[in-house]
Amino acid sequence: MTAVIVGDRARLPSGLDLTGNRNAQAFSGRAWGTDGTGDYLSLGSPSDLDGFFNTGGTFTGWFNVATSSHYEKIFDFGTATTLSLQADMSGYIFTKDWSTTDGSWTYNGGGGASHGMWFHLVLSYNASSTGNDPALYINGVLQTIDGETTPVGSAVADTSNKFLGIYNDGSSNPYDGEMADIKFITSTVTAAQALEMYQNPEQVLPTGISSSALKCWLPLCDYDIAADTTVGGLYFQDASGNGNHALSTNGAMSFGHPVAPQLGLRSSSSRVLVNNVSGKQASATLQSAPGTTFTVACWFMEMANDDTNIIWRMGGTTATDDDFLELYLNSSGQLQVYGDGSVTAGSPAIGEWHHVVVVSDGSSPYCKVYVDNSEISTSGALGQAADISTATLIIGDQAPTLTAFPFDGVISEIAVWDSVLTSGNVSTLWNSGVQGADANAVDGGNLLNWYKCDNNVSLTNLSDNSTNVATYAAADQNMVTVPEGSTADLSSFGTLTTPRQGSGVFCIPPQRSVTGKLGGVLTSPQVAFGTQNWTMGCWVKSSGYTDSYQAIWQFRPGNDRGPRCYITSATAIQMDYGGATTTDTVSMTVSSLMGNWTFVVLQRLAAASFKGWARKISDSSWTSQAEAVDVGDMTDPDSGVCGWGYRADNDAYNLNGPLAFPRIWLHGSDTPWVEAELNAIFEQGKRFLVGDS
Amino acid sequence: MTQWSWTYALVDLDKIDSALPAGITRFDYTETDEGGNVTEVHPTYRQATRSRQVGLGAKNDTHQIVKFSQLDFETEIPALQAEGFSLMPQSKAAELVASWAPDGPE
Repeated sequence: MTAVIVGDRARLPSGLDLTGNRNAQAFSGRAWGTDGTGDYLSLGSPSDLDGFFNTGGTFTGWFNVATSSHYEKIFDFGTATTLSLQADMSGYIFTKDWSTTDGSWTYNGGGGASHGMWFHLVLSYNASSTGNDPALYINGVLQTIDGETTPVGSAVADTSNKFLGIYNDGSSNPYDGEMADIKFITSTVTAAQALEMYQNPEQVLPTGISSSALKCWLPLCDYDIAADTTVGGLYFQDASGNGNHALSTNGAMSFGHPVAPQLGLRSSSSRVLVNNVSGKQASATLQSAPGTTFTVACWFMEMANDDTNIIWRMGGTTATDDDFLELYLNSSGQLQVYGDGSVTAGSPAIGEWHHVVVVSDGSSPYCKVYVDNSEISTSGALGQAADISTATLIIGDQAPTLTAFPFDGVISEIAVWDSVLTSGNVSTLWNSGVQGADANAVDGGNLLNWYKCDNNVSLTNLSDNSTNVATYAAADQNMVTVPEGSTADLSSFGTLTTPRQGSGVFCIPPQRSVTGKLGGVLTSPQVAFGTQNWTMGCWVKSSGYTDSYQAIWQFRPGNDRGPRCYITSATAIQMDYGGATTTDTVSMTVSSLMGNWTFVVLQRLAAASFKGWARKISDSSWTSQAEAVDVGDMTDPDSGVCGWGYRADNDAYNLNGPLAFPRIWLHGSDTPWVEAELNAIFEQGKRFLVGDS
Repeated sequence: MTQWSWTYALVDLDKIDSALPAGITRFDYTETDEGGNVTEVHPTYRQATRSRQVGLGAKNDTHQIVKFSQLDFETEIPALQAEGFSLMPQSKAAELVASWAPDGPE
């Protein structure tokens, strides 16, 4: 599986209300901005964008042009394949590189767009024939071609570096304005699909377009770096999962755009297990051996059929023990149940969530398989009824004692019952959606083990009848955060149906989870702490401690002055702060820190008076520690990225969970918040977060 | 996109790898070698981009746009003017760069 980076849903409150209902088409988003003096994005020359239009391709995005006077480039694919603006937004010119004569199509008129106005652009073209014309849609409306040079020869492959916002020399015709939500789709779209993209900007792809056609998706909202600092040298994530990230040269983040769809800020804390390499499986001991009557249910999404992909194995763990059952997808994408013989149960589509329930009642034909709430007519046969006498469950592989066939995709909610679920039970699970069901409420008395697969430290057993966790073979398990709510097709990992969190909760890319990294990083400009009093704090919820510190905040870009705060063990928070004179540290022990929302605060109360505070959401009082060291001027002279929940230089220090309501108050020489005021701030945050605790 | 906090300098192309004027010290940084020896660096225009408060923009055969965030009026702007560089706001810089562009859509 290629590295998967998922853009998570991120509507601000103007886009969605607190219950997840959409408020018309209102978005308040970030965008990537240029100033017309040479800012641009470079995609390099990834092979899956070569010959982009040659067999049908669609480029789409949201744009807000500040000025245009001389063929400013929206894109340039390095040869003669470009999309340019005409002066004063008076039209568009698309050219395509052909071997003999380049094609060129001119559209006069802005299509209703003008300077300072966000508009949606779709350019769809198939260069497989000289007779084809490109279709340009502005805000869903097809534009008339006013001038044309018909191409001659064959379409050139366009294998050069691909630029956004500038000519292919990286200097000329720079775009001046903002852009957001850029997508490269290797398929043409119809007028209806172009209109759908405009009218439903929160939808990743229009109806009928396969997710595999999305080769690059740049939400362009990754940073919240103030516009007095460029985002030059930083990459913008490709949320399509194809690794086609865009490197910014200069450019800046732009904020407060009421139209541009925005991803990355508001997100879920719900996560699922990503598996794609050997040695990442989870193993558990079942509460009891299931014997011959049992049910196993799970959700999965396969990402690629490159080999046998084992979802789970139950029972025998050696080659000589044939009392086992496995659910897997073979390299042809067929879903199979394998024990003493194998049963084939259809070919679930790649890249979509599927719910599979395997039921054994000890009689011939030995098992039923439900896929997405339908009992599947199977082919093949198990030679005999499975009799699972070994109480083991392996999730995501059959290793370690057997040959590794790691599942290539994501897995959620594996539940095992020592009973035969009815079709009605299966419907209940299916209708509840991914992570939407309470398995204890479905024949709960016979539920053995149940794992949501949402923790990268170990998998908590949510069964009321058992506490056996599932342990990972590796310490650095990959997870991915998945959007919550009912909006379909929002990310390549679909959506979950768990309750949404209150607004303001931010999900950090899971710790160490390079494969499953997603969304934005909560960066911040430096703060001139100086020698004034201040209070800073936020809510955090770490799902587990691995082997590295987890950054809560880091405002010490030069590693000498400013405050930092880390989770340093499963029960410890450490804050250190440096100044021109010296550094000092606050350390606090907080029991049950993992898995519980905790409000963490550090204050400078006076020159030689600092105090750290921590309070879990269920606590009635604070844990605190005071220090009496004057560290001196705390403004760090170095420029650098500060932020919340992560350290810019290393994914290993990411917070292992969500973060909410980060704030810094600069009090000057005034008295900082006293305990009663901190209590009020605590209660304010608690109201939003209590539903998730 | 208008960026009020930025000033745009038209710098001779052959000076991009020369040191910033001595009066502009805000972008100075230190380097530490393997032996722990610390060296203070007064950067060139190109090296100053590491701060991300300096950016190298479009160029033609003789000049390149260098943009600076939040230059102060007392020392930094006079220091650049003393080098003989034209300083301009974003709109003028964008206009100038547009005039350098190839004369066609391709």
